Amino acid sequence: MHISEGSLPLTHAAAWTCASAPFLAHSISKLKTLRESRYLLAASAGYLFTLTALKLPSVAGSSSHPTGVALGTVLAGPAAMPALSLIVLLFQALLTAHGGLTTLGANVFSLGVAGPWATWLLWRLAARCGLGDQPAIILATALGSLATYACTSLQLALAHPDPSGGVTAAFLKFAAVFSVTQLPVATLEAAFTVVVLRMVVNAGGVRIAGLEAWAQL
Amino acid sequence: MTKRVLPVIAAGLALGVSAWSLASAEGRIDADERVSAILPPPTRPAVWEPSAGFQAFSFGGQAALGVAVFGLACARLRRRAR
Repeated sequence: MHISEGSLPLTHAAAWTCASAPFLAHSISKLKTLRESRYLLAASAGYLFTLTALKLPSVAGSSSHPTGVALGTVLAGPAAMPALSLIVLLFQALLTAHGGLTTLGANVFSLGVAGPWATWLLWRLAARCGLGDQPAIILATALGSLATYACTSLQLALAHPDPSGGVTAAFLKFAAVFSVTQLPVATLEAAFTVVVLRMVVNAGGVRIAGLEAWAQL
Repeated sequence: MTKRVLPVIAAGLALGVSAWSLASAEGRIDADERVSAILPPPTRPAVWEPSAGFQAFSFGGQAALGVAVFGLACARLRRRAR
């Protein structure tokens, strides 16, 4: 989901930066209010750092990295994620040439806003529909990861529409390339996230809204 | 203290080396690179383009740092819960 330097026209890069800015500002102010749960935030940041560094082999000779936003979304809420994503994306843009500085706003929007909010909404929706905690988180993590890549596909499609099919055809083209690689990675990430989440909740004896039963195990 | 920190260092090193190895592996194309290949050439050159070896090392460092932060945070959570 890392859009590399120079892949977006400057106007698009600026527009996505403007779109990310309010979420980022809200996230930073939210982090200040979450001081009590700073260790949960640190665990979420560590998880995000680790998972986005793992280029996992996937099908058809490709590789990709998990997004790693689901743990933080469940532990600290989706509003906390843009700031954590910015740290990770800045580190990667500067040291691994993965992503870019002008495309930072667009990348923060997909990894820090679209992914976490999609994960959170799907988790709450699945829980409300009566799906158990574990299946709800697995489903939300997998689809949230795919939503991050769908957002990147949209960003690229808006910047580079297909000459004949327009934005829709371009979106489908980019999404098709991402989905082949990302489907197995997202499934693996979903299963791993549940294991790690259970470990953190049990280790810290923390009570998470929607996962009260887990802390009592 | 040592009992808490040593496993974190070991896990950090293990995952760091794994991430380094995965990032430097040849023969597999990253999904982002696949998409970049079908995009028009970048309008601006990259401000800084580190070598492939440095990039792989940075991925390893990032994973090791992430595991260290995660492990220490979990250790503090466990201690606080007790």
